[in-house]
Amino acid sequence: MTDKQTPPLNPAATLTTEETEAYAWQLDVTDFGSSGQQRLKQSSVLISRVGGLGSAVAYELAAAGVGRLILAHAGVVQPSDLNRQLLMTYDWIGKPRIESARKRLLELNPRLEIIAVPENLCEENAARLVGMADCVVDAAPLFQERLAINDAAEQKGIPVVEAAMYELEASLTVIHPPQTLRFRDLVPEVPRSWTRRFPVFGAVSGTVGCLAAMETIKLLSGLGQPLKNRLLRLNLRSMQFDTILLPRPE
Amino acid sequence: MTQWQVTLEFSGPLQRTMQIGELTVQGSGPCTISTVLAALMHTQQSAVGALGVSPETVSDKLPPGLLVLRNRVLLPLRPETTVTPGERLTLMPMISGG
Repeated sequence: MTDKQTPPLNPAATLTTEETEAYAWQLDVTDFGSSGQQRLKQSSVLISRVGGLGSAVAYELAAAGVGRLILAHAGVVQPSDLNRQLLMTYDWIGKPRIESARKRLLELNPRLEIIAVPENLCEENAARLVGMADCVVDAAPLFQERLAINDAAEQKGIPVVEAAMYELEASLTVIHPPQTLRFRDLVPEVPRSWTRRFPVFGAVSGTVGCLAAMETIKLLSGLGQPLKNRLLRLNLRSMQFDTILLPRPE
Repeated sequence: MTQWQVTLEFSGPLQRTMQIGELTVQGSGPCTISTVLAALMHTQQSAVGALGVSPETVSDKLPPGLLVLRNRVLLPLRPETTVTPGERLTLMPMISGG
């Protein structure tokens, strides 16, 4: 799907009275309304890892009423996760992250369908998981995962919201070839200098996670202008936000 | 041989590893992305690790994921892309923290 070519409304996504009440404040948003809400309801979003960044994305998309969230994240909750991974809780240390995420999201919005996958994205599972979604949010900490996600999404024509952070910096763009460059045009292979562990505050992941969620809502509902062919770079140390122009594909 | 100098501004992991925000590098001959990066690595040894390439190989292949910006516009990511002497570029590595 594309941002301005949203799929036809599915009658099954008609809002119930209870849903209309629950989402009343956002139904008033210009150019969104009940058709935008129905589009969220009938949509599926894959979030690759629900760690620091993906937790914030998932929480905002759950609150906004995206119908189905496919969450992919392996491993168990570690004490060091808790400075930023807001879907994880202290009482869940040592237990699967994905179950903590599912539990917290359903507490917020029990109308959701959640598919919890206790795996990280990789070349072997990317096509299957990406194929279940209308849109992907890439919040993975490794370039290997980002490349696998984008390769699969490009094959299926699915947009990817690319969000990332490092220390007090963050970046955000939407990759959707052929309307945009491919992710591989920017990162042709895994950079040798990137390391798995990186310095960060939870407030940084929360900031860019909310922005990534907004981009996802825009893509699904046809609202506004998504960050295609532009890369937003945030420096929270200086509070400087720059929009970098990316060349359009030739 | 034409002498040139270019001012480089660093962001993200590059700035952290090199522990400087910007640096002016000098060289002679063709002024391209690859010669500027080679001059940077000769001037600042820590850039070699931060970029993940060596001054000898950068003319064949740029560091993957390194964005080179002029006035917030991405330059073509090719070693031979021309850089105007005296100008200011930003070196911005793509990041992947999630």
